[in-house]
Amino acid sequence: MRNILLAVILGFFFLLPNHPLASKESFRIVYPVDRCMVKWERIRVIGLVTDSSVKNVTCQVKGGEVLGGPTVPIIKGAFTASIRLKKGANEISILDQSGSTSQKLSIYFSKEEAKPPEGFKTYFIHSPLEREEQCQDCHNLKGEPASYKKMIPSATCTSAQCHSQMGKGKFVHGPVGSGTCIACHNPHGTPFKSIVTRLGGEGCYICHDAQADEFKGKVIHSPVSEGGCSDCHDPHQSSLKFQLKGASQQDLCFNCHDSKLIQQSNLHEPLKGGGDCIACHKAHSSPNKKLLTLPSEKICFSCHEDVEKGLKKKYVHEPVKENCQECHDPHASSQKALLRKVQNQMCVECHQAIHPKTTQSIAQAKFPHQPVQKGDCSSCHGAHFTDFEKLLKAPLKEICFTCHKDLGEKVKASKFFHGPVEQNDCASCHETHGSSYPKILRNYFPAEFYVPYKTENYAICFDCHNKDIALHAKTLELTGFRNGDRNLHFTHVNKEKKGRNCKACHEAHSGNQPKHIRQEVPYGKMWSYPIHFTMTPTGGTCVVGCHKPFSYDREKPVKY
Amino acid sequence: MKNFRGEKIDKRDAFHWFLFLFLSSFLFGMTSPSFALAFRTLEIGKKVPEIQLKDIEGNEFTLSSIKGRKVVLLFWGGDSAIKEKRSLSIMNRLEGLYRQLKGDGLQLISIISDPESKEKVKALKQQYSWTHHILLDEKREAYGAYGVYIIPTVGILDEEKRLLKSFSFTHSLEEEVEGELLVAMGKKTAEQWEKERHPKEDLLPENKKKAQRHFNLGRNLLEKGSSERAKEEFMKSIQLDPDHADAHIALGMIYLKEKNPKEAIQLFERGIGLNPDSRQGFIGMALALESMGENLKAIEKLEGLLKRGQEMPEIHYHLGRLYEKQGQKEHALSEYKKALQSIFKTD
Repeated sequence: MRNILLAVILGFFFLLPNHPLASKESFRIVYPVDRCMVKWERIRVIGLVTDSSVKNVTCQVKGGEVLGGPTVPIIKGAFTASIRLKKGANEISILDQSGSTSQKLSIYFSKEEAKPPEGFKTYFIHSPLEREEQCQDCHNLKGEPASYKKMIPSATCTSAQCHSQMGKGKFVHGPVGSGTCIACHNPHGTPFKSIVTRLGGEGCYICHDAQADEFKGKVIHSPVSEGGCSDCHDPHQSSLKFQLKGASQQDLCFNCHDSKLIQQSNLHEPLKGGGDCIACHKAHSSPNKKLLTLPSEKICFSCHEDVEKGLKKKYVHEPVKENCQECHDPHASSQKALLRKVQNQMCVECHQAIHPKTTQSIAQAKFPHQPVQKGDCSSCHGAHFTDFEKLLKAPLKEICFTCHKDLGEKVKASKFFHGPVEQNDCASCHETHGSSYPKILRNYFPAEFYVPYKTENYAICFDCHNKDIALHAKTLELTGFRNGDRNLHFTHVNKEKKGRNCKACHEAHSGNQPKHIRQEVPYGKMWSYPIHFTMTPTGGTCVVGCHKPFSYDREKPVKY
Repeated sequence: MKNFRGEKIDKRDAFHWFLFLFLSSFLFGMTSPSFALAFRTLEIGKKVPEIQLKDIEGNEFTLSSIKGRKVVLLFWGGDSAIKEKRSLSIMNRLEGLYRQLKGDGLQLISIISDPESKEKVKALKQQYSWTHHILLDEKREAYGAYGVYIIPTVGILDEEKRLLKSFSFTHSLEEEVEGELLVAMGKKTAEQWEKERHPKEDLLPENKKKAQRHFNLGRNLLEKGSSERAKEEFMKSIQLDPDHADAHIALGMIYLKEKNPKEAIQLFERGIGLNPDSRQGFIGMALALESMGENLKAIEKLEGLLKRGQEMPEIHYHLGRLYEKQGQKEHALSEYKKALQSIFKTD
C-alpha cells in the first residue's frame, strides 16, 4: 500500500511541468501555429531548440514532402524545415534526435477556399522565396546562446526582384526608410493579411502613441474610430505628405465623401487647386462637430478676420451673429460669395417670415424700385454689418444719390432743403423697396399742378404736416404763409377747380430760395414762369409770372 | 403787357419792381432769417416763448414754473394714424429717457394740439404709464407760438429756456433725440455722439482684405503641416498686397526651411522694411544668416532686437544657440536662462 502511494506521488511529480526531474521538451515549434490554413504550397516550419545537445530534428509530413530530407539540422539554436504541402489537411510531426520530444502540427493547404475548415484559422505567411533567407537577415544572433528576440533592420526585404520600389517614394514611412520592415511585418506568418503583426491602428499606435490624444476627440473621423489608419495613409510611402493615399488630399477625402460637394462654379478658396480640406477640418478627431478645427460659428474668422472685427459695428445682420453657414456654403456654390441660393431669394425667404407684410408689398408693388426688381439687395444693404440703420451701406441719402446722381448734384448745390432731405431721410416720402404710387412715394400725390382741392390728395404731405393747413381761410397758427390772419396756403391751394398743387410752388427736395420755393414753374409743354421769392423776418414777397408781385406780412398785413 | 391771368400790367412798373426785388433778393437771400428746422418761429440759442396751458388733469401749467432743469418739449398728435404711431414711438422713448435722467435735472413736457383727444390721451397715459406732464393745446396757442409745422416735433431747452436743439420727424428721430439729449445732459461728449452718428467707415481696400485672408489661410495650413500650400497662399497674399509685411516674413521662413537662405533674406529684408518692429522678421533674418555661416551677423541682429526692448524667449534661445556655436558657453548659458525666465514670466 505504501509502495503504491509512493508510486502515485512520484508519478504526479514527474508529470508536473517544470519540475526538476520531469522530462523537458528539447524544442518548440514557433511558426506556423497549429490548426491553421495557408494559401501557399511551400511553407517553412521554424522551431527553437531549448536543449543544446540536440543537433538535429526529424520532420515527417503525411502526404507532403520535407524538402531537403527529413533530417533538419539545428543552426544557432533553431531549425527551419521547408515543407511542400499537399492540398487539404497535412499532418506534420517533428521529433528530436533522441525521440523524446515530438510535436505535431495540422496545417490545411488550399489556394481556392476562402474559409478555413472548422477548427482551423487562416494564417498568412510570406510567399515562398527563390532565395532561402537566413535567420541573421533579421535576427541579431551575436553571442552565445543566440537570442532570437533581438531584431535588426533587414537589408534583404527589398531587392531588384522583391519590393523594389519600397522606400523610393517622396514621403517614406520611417520604418520603411530605415529598412525595418519587421517593425510591422512578420515574414514567418501572422493571422493577419499582409503578414502584419497587429491589425489596424493598434500597429500604428505602438509608435504614434504621442498623438493618442489627437485621436480621442469628441468627434472622431470614422476611419480612425474603426482603426483604419491605412484607409487614408499608405503605411509605406506616398507622393503626398503624411503618406496620404491618392493623387491629392482632396482626392483622398472624396474616396468616401461625395465630390458633388465641390462641383459648383464657385469654390471656397481653400478648396481651389487640389483642395485643402484640412484648412477647416481635422483629419483624425476634433472637439467640434463635423471635425471642424474650431466651432462652426468661429471657424470662418480664422481667415476672415475682417468679418470678426465687423461684428463690433452698431448694426449686425442677425444670421451673421449666429453662423455664417446660414447663408454661405463653406465648400462651393453656383452663386457668388458662396451663397446657398440666389441672393434675393435668400433674403426673401427669411424676411418673408420676419416681415410678411413688407415682403408682400414689395412683391406686389406697382412701381418697383429698380435694384429691388433686379433682386440686388446688396446694392443698398450690407449683408453682414454696417454703421447705419437697416444695414444700409451708407447714410440713406448717399446711397440714393449713387444712382440718382442728377438729383444728388442738385441737392448738393442747393441752399434750402425739404426737412426729410435735410435729415437724410428719403424714406420719409419714398417707399424704398417699391410702392403703389409713382416715384415710389409712400402715398398718393397728384401729378398735375392744378387740382381741385381735397385733403386726401395730399395725404403724403399730411403724414408730417398739419392737414388743416389749407382748410381755414384765416389762421394765426397753422402757417407762416399768411398776410396777417389771411391764410395764403388756403388762397393758393384750396380751390374747387384750379387749386395749386404743393409742387406748383415748392421743390420737393431742395432749392435755392427759402422754403425751397421753385425757381420756375412749368406752363404747358414749352414754357415756364420764373418765381422769385424773398423772405423777410415777418413775411415775404413773391414775384411770379402767375400774378403781379405780392408781398405778405404776418404782423403788419399788406393791403392788396 | 398782360400777366398770366390776363390782367394788364404797366411794363415799366413791372420792370422796376422786378429789378428792385431781383437785386434785393440777393441781399435778403444772404440775410434770410435762420430758423430752427423744426420750429418756424424760433432760433437756436434764443429763449422760447412762455407756455401757459392746462394738463390733461385740468391743472394749470407754465413753462416758467420749471426752474433749473433742462426741458424736452414734444409736440405730438394723432390727426392721422401714421402721426399717432410716430408720436407714440417718440413719446415712449422720451418717457424712458425722462425716467432715467430726471434725477439729473431733466423735465419732459409733451403738448398735444388736437382739441378732441383729451379722453384718448388719458387712456394712452394709463396704458403706457407715462409720468411726465401732458399739456392740452386746444387753441393751438403753443403750436402757433412755436411755429410747429411737423408732427411729431421735439425741442431741447437749457435751464434758461433757450432752444438748444430741435428735431422734426425722420426715421432716425429717436436715435437723434436720444444722442443729443445725452450730450446736453453731460452723459456723453459731443465727440462721442459725433462718432456714433457719423462713424468712420472701414476704408481698407478689397485687395488688402483678400490679401489678409490668403495670409490667414496660409498660416492655418502651415500649422497643419502643409507648407507647400501655405507657400502658395503667402505668395497670393503678396501679389494682392505687396506691402503685406507678415506675408513676406512668413514666406521667408518657408524658404529658410527649404534651405534657400538667400531668397529668405530678401523676403525678410522686405518684410522688415515694411514693418521695422517685426520681431519675427529679425529672428528669421538671424536664422538665415546662421544657415549661411554668418553667426556673428546673426548675433548682431538678435542683440539689436533686444536693445530695442523687444523681449521674446525665442530671441534668447537662438542667441544661446549661436553663442554656444561660437564656443562662448558663459554667454550661451546666460541666454538660455533668460529664455526660461521669459517663458515662466509669460506663463
